[in-house]
Amino acid sequence: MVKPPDDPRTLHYLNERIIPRNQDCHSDKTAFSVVGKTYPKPDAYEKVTGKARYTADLKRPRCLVGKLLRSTHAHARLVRVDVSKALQIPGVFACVSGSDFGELIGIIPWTKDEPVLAKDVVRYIGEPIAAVAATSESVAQQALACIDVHYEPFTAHFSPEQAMVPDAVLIHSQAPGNASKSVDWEFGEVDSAFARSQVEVSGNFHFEATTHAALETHAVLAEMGADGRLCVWSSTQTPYYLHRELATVLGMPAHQIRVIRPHIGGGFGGKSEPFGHEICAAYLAKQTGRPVKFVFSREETFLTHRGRHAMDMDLRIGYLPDEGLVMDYQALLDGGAYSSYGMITTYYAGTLNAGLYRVPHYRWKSQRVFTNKPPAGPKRGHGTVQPRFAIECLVDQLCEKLGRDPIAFRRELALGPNTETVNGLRIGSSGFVTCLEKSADQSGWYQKFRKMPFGHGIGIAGSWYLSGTNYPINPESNPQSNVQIKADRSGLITLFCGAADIGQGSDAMLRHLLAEELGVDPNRCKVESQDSDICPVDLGSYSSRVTLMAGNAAISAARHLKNQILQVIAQDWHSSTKQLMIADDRVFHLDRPEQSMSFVTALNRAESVLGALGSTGSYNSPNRGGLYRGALVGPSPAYSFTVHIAELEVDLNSGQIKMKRIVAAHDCGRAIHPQLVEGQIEGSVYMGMGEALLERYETAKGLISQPNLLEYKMPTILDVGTIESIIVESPDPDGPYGAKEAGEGPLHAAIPAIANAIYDAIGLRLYQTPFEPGQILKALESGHCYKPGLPRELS
Amino acid sequence: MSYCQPTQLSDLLSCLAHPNARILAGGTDLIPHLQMGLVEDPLLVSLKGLPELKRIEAKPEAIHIGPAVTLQTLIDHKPLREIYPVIGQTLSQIGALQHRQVGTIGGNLCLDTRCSWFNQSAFWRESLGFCLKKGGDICQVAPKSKRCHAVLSCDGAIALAACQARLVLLSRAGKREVSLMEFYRPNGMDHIDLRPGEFIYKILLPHAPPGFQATYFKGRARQSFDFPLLGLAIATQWDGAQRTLSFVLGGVESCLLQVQMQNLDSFLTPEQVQSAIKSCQRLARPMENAFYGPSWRKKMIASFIAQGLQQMNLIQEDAP
Repeated sequence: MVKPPDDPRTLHYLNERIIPRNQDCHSDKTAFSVVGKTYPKPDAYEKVTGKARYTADLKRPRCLVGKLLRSTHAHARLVRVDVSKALQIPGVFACVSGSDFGELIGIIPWTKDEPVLAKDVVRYIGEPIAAVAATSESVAQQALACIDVHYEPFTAHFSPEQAMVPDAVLIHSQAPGNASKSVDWEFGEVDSAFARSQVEVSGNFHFEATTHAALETHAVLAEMGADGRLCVWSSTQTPYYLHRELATVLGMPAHQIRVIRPHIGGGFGGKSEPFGHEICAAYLAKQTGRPVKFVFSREETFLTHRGRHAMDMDLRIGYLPDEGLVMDYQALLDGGAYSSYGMITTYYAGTLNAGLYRVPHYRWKSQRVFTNKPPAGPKRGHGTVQPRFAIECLVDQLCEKLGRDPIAFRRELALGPNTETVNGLRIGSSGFVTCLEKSADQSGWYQKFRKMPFGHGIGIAGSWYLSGTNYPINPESNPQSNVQIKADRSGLITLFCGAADIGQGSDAMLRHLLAEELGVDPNRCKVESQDSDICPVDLGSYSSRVTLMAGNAAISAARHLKNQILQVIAQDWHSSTKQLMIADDRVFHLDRPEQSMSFVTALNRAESVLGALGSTGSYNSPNRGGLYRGALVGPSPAYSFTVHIAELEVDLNSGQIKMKRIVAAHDCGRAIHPQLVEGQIEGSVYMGMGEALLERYETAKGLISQPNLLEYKMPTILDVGTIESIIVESPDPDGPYGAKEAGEGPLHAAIPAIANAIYDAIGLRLYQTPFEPGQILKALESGHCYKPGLPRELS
Repeated sequence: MSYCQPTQLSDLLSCLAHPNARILAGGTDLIPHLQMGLVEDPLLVSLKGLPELKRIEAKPEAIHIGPAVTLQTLIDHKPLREIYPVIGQTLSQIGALQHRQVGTIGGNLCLDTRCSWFNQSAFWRESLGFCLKKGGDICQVAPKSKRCHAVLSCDGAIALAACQARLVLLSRAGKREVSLMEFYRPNGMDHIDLRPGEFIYKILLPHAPPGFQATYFKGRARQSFDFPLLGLAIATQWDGAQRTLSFVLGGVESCLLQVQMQNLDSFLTPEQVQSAIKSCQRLARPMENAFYGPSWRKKMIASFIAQGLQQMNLIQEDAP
């Protein structure tokens, strides 16, 4: 007999692979056995040994190579697309063009405006016009060269300003003025609030477009089975939306389609909608009866884009000592040629501005405009990164004007837990103030701010982000996340869920929650999430929704399974389920220490009584949010909070920035798997730093100037300094064990924190990303730079 | 595309006589060019079968470096590091470690000139317009110009020129020797002086002259994995009792640029420093065809010269 411990809940697994956790970030950690501990990700060994197979690695017998012919014109009428010559080339099995597809595609049901392949009009350089399936890459290339395309060029618009000129040529006939989406709201009384504000600041900011640059480029493989079922393997963040779109466009019953998401080499928002090449692969596989595979080059992935919108922002903020801030904000978004997620981006460009701080008066106008460039879309921190840059820079200016310390000022302004913004966003838990305090302590803020020599600077910024949206993209009443669990008599517990692990580690997170809730060793738990035939629907990995939504569904399913098992054992032990618990892989009787049973024995006993053991769980978010039009974008079950403190040196000879360190404190509610949370914080900080200092999706005549990883300058390890992550936990009642998001929120603050640190270093305010050495050097040479806080003659 | 791997020098020279012959050594420049359709239907001539081209030998008159010596080998070469620390300092700033381990010094010297309008896929160039260097009839950077403005981007050449390296060029027609400065020409389309069938057989580094010291500065956006937006080597030596100073610039023209100052004292006067900066800036013609624009690159010339002269103790501390 195994002797039970005094309190089985204090058990820790004696697993040598457990990496000890060195950060004390939740006060009640003995309450958990698995949550809060770091185990290797389930796919870690596969990935580090090179065994993991990504879509491009997949091989099917008789597979054809798919290739796209892309437009070389930014805006033109397609007079003719003749594929007949291409079809005559030996080895070419099929060639399709826009006329083969009737339906338009698009992730947002109300703005489906993108053809699978361009029909009648091309709207950006790189837009797919035709697709071939051939026996080899060279034959496919040869076929593309034989497709006869006749263009009749139109005036192309490369900036929103050009596109908005009265009588400008329309990019979409149904979009007058080339307007993609407009939002115009006012909450509170903005004008009178400004009139009585103590201090006000304003600025015109420009955020440059950037792209995701995930390590894995887009890839898709499609095959028709002998049974008439279609199988599509794709590098996608949203397999369920792809499934739906395939059914709609191909006119196939959804149950005849199987979508498999292999390992994914990163998404960051760039793979979160169905794409034309995915539809083409399926269509060509159907037509040829052979598997068809498309693997994009890096350049093609750059052309597919959907990256961060370039945004021009006019922002004015006033400070009202007793109330908080008043904000007047306008944003102009360069949308590119199609809607993509743009309608949502336009809302996100404003809706989260009214939070983090108390903003009782807020006026906001944002407009997304079509241009003849690759479509912009969602990138990590979707639509909210750009305005947060502007806001945090101006809050820094407010502090300067008021003579307030930026930390104390933010603490005073912070919108605390259990509050609501003026536009109806309900905040549950908030660890923002803790983030401020911890990051200040760790960075030595009070010893450094305004105290370092000229050229050395430290800056702070805060941000917040949502953990999934209350209202999903497709208005349907089905749950947003579903989980099924199968308990096998071998002791293996398998959790099935369509949540897409895109490298962020959602499989590890689900396994952790399953093991925690069941009280078992995570190593006997397995997560299956790749295959739509066996995994119930989860909407996908976007909007930082998976931990909260799939996590809650997993806990709910695990709880059902546990109850089934405990009911059988309780009956055997003439006890109630309330007196039993499972911990450390054993079932214990809380009042009879001598009575226990291994989990596997209990499982077998339960199966012998109940038959096959399994359970399901679902999650649907609460209906919260304002009642005005557009109020459905922004409300989330829970919000994360972040503070970044950046320390850097401005090279006075070159104007270049040497990053020394970023201390990033992130409130994720509860760190289910701390190492993965840290990974998300570090990755977000890195990405934000790249956008602050180097990255620009710059286009010349509508085509990206640097479609490769040499010239699209992402920082190298030598450029980032050190990144220190601090996990802050403020468990949210809506999160699984209190967990909130960690994948996007830790990005925003990096950019304004760096801008504010540059100000601290040389007294220069920057309004445009990336912060290029040319503009900094010019300012240094002009003699206007100084050390803030010191009299100018001393600095 | 075809491939050959000669094992005799004479076979190599025969292969190189082929009009489309392209030497394949590390491939860090040539392979991307092939992928982008910038080099078509080449005869790839591998140097793998010729170990003699991978040797470094100290001879009485000069150090002989084979063209197929990898950059990392040169960086790690202890005697060379002692005589010419500037070479290791420079080469270790090329690409990333992976590039330096396969990339060769001959390959670096023959690196094709670079331009944001040229180093692009065929699709890209077709969409925005072909350029003079490949398939077009105008220079997209300077449409009124009659020549190509693609940029010399090999850090190695800048440092070696400052060390007064010479090249031995060999073909079936014979052997000839040129200085590195003469090897490059101000035409981005045809920037190296290699005659048909000719290749760099050896790099000759003279033994360091008295009082020689040199340093290298690289302007770039990132600390690794970037071509120079500006490369500047400064070298000095004693010529009897007088100091000679040489500034070699790359990354701002299709060829190397050099400014020399002679008959100097131990320290430079502020006027002499300004004159050096002005001369270098006057020569440099950076264009809008690299990641940072001409203005920053030109300003960095002044900054690098000031920093370099300071580092080399050529400016008196108490000078006004």
